[in-house]
Parts: sequence; structure tokens; C-alpha cells
Amino acid sequence: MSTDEKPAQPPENSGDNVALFEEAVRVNSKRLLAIARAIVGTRASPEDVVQQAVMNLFQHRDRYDWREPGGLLRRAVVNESLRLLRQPKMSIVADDHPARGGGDEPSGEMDQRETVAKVRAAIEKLPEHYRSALVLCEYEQMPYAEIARTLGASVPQIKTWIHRARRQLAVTLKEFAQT
Amino acid sequence: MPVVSEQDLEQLEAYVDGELSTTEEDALRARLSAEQILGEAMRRVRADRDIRMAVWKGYEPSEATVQRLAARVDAAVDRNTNWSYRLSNLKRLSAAAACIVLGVLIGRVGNQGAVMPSGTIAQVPVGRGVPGPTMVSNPIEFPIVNEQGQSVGVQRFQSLREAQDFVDELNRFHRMQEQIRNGGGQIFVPIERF
Repeated sequence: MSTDEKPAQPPENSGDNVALFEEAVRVNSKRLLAIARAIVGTRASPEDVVQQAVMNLFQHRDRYDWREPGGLLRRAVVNESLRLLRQPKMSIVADDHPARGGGDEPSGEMDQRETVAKVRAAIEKLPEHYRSALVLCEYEQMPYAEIARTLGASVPQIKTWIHRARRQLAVTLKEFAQT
Repeated sequence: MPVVSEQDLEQLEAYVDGELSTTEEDALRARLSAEQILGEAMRRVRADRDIRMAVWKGYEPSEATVQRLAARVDAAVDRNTNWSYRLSNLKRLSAAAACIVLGVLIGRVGNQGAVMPSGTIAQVPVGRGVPGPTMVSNPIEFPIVNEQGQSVGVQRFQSLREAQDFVDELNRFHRMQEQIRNGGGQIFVPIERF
């Protein structure tokens, strides 16, 4: 390989934001993947969603403060997930998180797992904005005001979405129980 | 079975979400201890939430998935930064080359219509914001610009041949800079002309 074909190296002093960005992604990636998975379900790969979201931020990295990146990353992942869901054609991807455990477990645990699976199925039937608000409220434990900022809605709207999501889940679970 | 109103249910959920004010919380606690139905509803709200928490936890990826994502993002960042760097270098080179080409062309035109030999100097797109030559005369003159496109000096040539040599040498200089940046240590750089 000639010297000219070697990959070019960026100037050393441009690496500050890059290092902060990479650290932010490393620290938050587990939660970001879970949020993406909760919102897109099996209609897209959570890894693709998170990668696209963080690289969108990386393109304009000098605009953001990377010392407190949690909210920024969450907002980017939620927006990217919702954008993907609004695309007309989505392919189903394999579920990376199948229910764990084998057959030799106490019946109580089996019941619990069955219930969780039913709730999971019911969550995936919720409208996407209900699901997004609910996961940010319960999993991320974000206050309504922050959820409203993230989803671009008002606080009363968020309150209504979360309440309706919970009622809808309760109804679906009641239907499951009756069948 | 007696049921609680939607409004009460909403308040119970807001309580569990930590969205009630201290006054509202105190009032609700008093009702919870007094109204058995409300207490039962609260237990259901908490139980449902616990089940959903198990669902959210189940969405958390394995460590291998997290590592895979980190590797993918690192690779994407490397690609992105390398291309940005290459493009910025290309922009600088284009600006320098554009100045040379413009200077030579205008110098030739200023030299009372002398014919420009075809194919001597490659045509290079003109970079944005790069000023053209400030003087048109013989000998040929053109400005040297810095990275911001500001003129920092004037280069003079007695002939087109000399200008061509300068272009070649400039290109060689940039290649050597590139080599040094990429770790090529023992390279002699003839910098006296720059």
C-alpha cells in the first residue's frame, strides 16, 4: 500500500467532543436500546435505530453539551423510533429478547412469565405515542414535563396518553384473562 | 365489585408517578386510609406497574448486543471523521490550486493576448470565498491565501514554465505533509519555496 492510500487522520485537537460523544453512547447504550425496543417493537432493529439516532447527533456534535447527554440521547432515540414507525413499509425483525427460562420452574414463576408475555403483547398493540410516553414515564422515570418536551406535546396531553395507555392495557389483559 | 372513578384512578397513577404536590399527596393518603375501595385500587395500580416494569426490564439488551452497538458506532464515527478530514484537506488544496490556475490564466491574458498552451495545467474547481489575483501584469503574480481564504502574500513567476513547476512542487509538498501525518518519518521536505 502506498503512503497516499493510508487512511487520513483527523487533527488531534478535534477529538474532545468525539471522546465525550463515544463515552456518552457507551454509558447510555443499554437504556437507549431498551427504549428503542419498547417503541419500535419488532418492526425495526433497536441497534439500527440507536445507531442512526446517535450518528445524527454526531453530525452536529459541536452544537451540544456532551457533559449531560442523557436527555439529548433519549430524545434522539425516541424521535428516530417514531420516525421509523411512520415509514410506510416496515419489515419484522427477530426478537433479541425471547422469554427466558426452561420448563422446570415453579408454577408461580410460570404464571408470572405468562402474564409478562401477555402485557408485552398488549403494550405492542398500543398506539406508538402512548407506548413512548409510558416507557419514558415508567422505565426512565421521567417527569411528565420532560416527557412532554421529549415528545413535543403538552403536559396534559402526556397525562392523558399515559392514563389511556394504562386503561387500554388493563382492558386487554382482562380480555386475555377471560379467553 | 365496587369501582373507583376515572378521576380517582388518574390521581392514584399520578401519585405513583410522583407527580402530585405535597398537599395533594397528604389529601390522598388521608383518603387511602379511610376508603377501603381506594386502597384496593391503589394495590392494583402498583401491581400492574410492577408487571410492566418486568416488561421494560425484559427489553434491556444483553452485554453482547451493547458491545456490538459500541463497535458499530465507533466504526461509523471513524468513517465520518476521516471523510470530514479528507474533505477539508481537499478544500484547502482546491483553493490553492484555484489561485494558481486563476493567476496563470489572468497573467497570460494580461500578457497582451499570448496564447495559452492547451493541457499544461489541469482545470481545478474554484473554492468558495477564495479571492482571485490582485494584480495582472508580467511577470505573472497571484496571491497566496491561508486556510481562511485571506491573502497573506504574492507569488511572482517569470514564465508559465516556472508557474507549472510551482504547482508541481506545491502538490509534492502536500503529499509529503500527508505522509508525515500518517507516520512516514524520514522525509525531507523542501520548504524553502513556501
